[in-house]
Amino acid sequence: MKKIISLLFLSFILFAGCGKKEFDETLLYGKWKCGTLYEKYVSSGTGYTWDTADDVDESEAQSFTWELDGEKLTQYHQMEASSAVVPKQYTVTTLTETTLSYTSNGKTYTFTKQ
Amino acid sequence: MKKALKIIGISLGSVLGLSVAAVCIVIWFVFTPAKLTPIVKSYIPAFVTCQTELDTVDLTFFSTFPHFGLRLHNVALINPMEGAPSDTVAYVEELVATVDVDEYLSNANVVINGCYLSNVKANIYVNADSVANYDVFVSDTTAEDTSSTSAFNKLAIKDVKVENLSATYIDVPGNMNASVSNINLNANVEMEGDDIDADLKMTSDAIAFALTDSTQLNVSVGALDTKFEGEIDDYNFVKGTLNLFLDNVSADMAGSKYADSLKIQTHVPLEVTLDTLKVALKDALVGINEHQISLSGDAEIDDDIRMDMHFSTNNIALSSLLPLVPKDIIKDYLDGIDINGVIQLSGAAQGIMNDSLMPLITADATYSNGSIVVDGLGHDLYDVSTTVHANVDLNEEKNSYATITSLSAKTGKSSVSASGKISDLLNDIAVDIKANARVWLLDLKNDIPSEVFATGWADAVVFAKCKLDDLTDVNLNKIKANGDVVLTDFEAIYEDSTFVNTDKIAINFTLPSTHTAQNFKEVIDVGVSSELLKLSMTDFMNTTVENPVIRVGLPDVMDTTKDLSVACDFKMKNLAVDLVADTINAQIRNPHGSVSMVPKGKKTGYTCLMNCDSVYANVASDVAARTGTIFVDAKAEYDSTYEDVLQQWNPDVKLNFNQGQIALSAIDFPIKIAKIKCDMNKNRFKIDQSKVIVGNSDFQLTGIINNIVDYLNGEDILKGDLQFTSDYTDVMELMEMVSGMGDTTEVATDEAQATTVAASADSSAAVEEDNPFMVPLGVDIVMNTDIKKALAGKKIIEHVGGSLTIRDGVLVLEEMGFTCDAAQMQLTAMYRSARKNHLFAGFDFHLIDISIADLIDMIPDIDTIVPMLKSFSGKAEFHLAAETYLKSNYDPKFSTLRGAAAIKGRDLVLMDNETYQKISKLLLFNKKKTKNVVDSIDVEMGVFRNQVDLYPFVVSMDKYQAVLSGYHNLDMSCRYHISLTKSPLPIKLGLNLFGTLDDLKYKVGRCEYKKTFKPQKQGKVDETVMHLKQTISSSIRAGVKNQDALIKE
Repeated sequence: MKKIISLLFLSFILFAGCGKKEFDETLLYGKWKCGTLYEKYVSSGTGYTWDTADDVDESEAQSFTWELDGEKLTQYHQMEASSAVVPKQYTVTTLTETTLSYTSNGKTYTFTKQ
Repeated sequence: MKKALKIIGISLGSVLGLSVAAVCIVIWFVFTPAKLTPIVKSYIPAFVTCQTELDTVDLTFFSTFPHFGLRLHNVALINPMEGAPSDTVAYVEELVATVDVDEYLSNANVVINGCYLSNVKANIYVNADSVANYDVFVSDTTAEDTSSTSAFNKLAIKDVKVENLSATYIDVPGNMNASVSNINLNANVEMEGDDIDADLKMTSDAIAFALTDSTQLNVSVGALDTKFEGEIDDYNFVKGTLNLFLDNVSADMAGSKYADSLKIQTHVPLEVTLDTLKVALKDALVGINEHQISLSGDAEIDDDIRMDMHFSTNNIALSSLLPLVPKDIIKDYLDGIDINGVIQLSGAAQGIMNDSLMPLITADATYSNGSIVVDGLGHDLYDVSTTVHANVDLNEEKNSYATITSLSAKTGKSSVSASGKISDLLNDIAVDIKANARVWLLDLKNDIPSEVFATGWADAVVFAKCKLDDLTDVNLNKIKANGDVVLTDFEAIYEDSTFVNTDKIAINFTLPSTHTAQNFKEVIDVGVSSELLKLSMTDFMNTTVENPVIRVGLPDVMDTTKDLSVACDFKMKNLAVDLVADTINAQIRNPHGSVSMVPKGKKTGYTCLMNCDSVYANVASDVAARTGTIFVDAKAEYDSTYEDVLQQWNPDVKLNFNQGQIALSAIDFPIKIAKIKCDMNKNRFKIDQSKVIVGNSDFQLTGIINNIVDYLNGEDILKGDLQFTSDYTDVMELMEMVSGMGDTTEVATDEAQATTVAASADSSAAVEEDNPFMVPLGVDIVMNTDIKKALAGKKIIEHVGGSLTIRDGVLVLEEMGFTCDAAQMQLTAMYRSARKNHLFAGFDFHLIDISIADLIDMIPDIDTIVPMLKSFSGKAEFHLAAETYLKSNYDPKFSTLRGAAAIKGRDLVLMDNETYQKISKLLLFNKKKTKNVVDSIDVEMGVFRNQVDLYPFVVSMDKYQAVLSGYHNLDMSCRYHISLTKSPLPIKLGLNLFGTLDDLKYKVGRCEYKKTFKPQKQGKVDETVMHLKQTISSSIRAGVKNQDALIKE
């Protein structure tokens, strides 16, 4: 019985440690770079993304809206040829003044502030 | 008897002897020179004032028998004057005069029986002060007694002889020199009462005359022989004959020779009435060398001159006449012209001549056996002849005219003839002429540009009526002319490369034109007709025209202030064109219509109205086209100030044609154009009617495109509204037809390979650029479709309606709805070309109530995006949207790829495939007892860049319920999870699938989504996921036009 109680306590401690993370949304504002991929977050909840490897510059960037809820960063991409909206959700692991890291489908993307 | 005769003879001899003795006594002893000379000398001062010389004076009898005469020796008048060639004014070596004294004493008749002068010399000189050296005679100051009657009844001067008279004459103020030598004169004059008989004959050797002033005239006569025989009655009527012969006559003036060694002779029988000054000539002849002019008629000088004088020449050979014409005149008028032939002139001058009247002059001229060679003309004219009648009325000059009775000439094989009338000869000459010509065109080779070789016959008949000034000025507005030219066996070659030939072609012209052009004054009318006309250009074109009838109207082409206008009507039975180089041949049956070109200020207007019965055309073995009737009504206004072609030409074209058919080798079926009726101008292109059949498809395209010029000027966008209507459209057939058109892939590959090779040798070699389709900017064109039935793949779709829009750089296929036995469908697609390497393509596709198998069959690529879809069968509602930017070679830029899909189905059958069997086994499905019918699925997916997110969805099958979710990448690597949320089993299992879709790994795990579809039990994560799933579902369905068609829950 003592073991069971110890196990439940350990589990509580572990689950408490894996609880929802909170990030400062204002740290997200600005232009971020990951290799040739750029993302730009604006305080109004809009954002832009482009990849210079595909011969796209900032003026041709695709827009999106975004929201940061805890560690979940969700981008909503409104399509032009359709009324459809394509959501894309990431799990933020790091957000500092200089670094943004998030994961999606098992891949991690790390951006540096520009 | 003999004695009596002897006595008489002795008596007469005695008397004669005594008379002779008496005469001798008188001559030698009474009137000796010593006695007579002083007497005569004493009288000389009474007659002359200058110094005189006289050797002796004696009385003659035997030399002047039977009359006495006075003979003076060496008589000289001497009057020295500075500058004069001699002091002697006149010198007579011997002067003998005899007078019939008895006649005067008996009958009061003055009879000078003889007057003989020999070796006479005279030197006449007028100095610069106009003082003459012959002004030495005492002037008669006594008043003339006109009341007295004649002192004698008869005056007869017989046998006047002058031998060897030579004289010089120098007139300094008159700049005149003259000399004559060896004049010999014989004259007999007998005057009785008012009647005079005269017989004069004079000869001389050399006569010279010169004017030393600016005229520089020199005239010389080698010999002169003059003879006059005649009589004067009543001091009034002169009748006689004057013969004059001048030999070796030469004249020059200012260095120009006007006569050279001419023989001039006249034979002038004349009758002159002195009181009325009436002269009558009959067959008077004036000859110059062998040329003669005959004069007959009379002239009378009163206050007026009345004349009726006729003249005619003999036949004069120009070869002998022209040498008599001064060389300067020849040079001025006949330089480079060699003319021969015979001329004959005749005519008359009749009427009154005074200050206000002139006689009427008529003349007839004949020129025959002529030949004319003009340097550089290239045509030697022969058999030239003409007959001309002229009427010159100097009183009414307008009445003066010339009639060309005939004119003919030949050159080479060619001949020309003409006749007509020339009016108002003295002022504004007008011609009214008819000419016929038969011309061998090779004879005109020097008149035709060297690049052109023409052969054949031209038979022409030309009428012309106009003023000469208008003709020389080519004043086409004032010239009336018409003519017909028939070319036979005609062949023309231009620069050895262009050939025209016909057996016969007729050309006619009328001036001024009788036709009225709409936009200009038509002056020239030219018509061309032929049975068969062939035109070919080496290695380029062969053209055959059957029965062409062409009429061309032209304005005054000489008016250089205006640009050329042309109006042309044409009609042909058949026009066949074979473009050899391009292996194109065409036949146009019965083309007819009109074309025109009219300048309008700085612009030029064009019109073309054409009908034809049919057109056949072939391009090698690639294209074969034919049409039925074609009607074209085209207008254009060319303005070179614009740069683009459409604005330069400002066209207004109406086109109708029927029964067209085009067969392309690349297509198995012909394109049939049953009808097209359209019109176009610079602002719009309008298709009123069209009916096209392409293979199995038929369609009608109508509508209008506006703002063409404003669009070209950048002032407005190009707007269009088109309607595509079809009863049946075979989509795949049409796509196959256009597939590969303009595709340069193979070429590009070859070029790329070549570029690669070249690049290895030269790194600076240029790289081929892609040339993607760029949507025009500034364009707003909508094409509405109305297709009753279409075959898409193997599916018949019906009621296809929607619009294709090109709007300012964006091409949109908007809400294209249609139905088929598989589904109701709606497609919206967009293509935008911001720049060549940044193209946007997107679509929004909704299929309502479609068989999944049909869907995969229709869109095979769907298997890549939703690979598990092929595991189901049955009908579903399918929504798919995707968009991406493309590279110039149309490869997607995956960083820009976005997509969403929503699938909703019910009563689907889960296919019993290998994957299903594996999953069933791992999740402990009792397949034998489980009916593999899925009640419903509701799938949402998102595509972002190269990842496809499959949001959780429920699959309910018999007693089982599972939730599927996961993701896969476009490289087909994946990770999926299946949560078995309902089953007969007491535990809730989960199954993870990972690896690649071709090589899936399976691993049983925990059930991750046991609360996801239980709202009351959902956690935050589940709630968020469902929110995203709903976002896709609602947003993508919002694009469905017919929401009622959606499958209801």
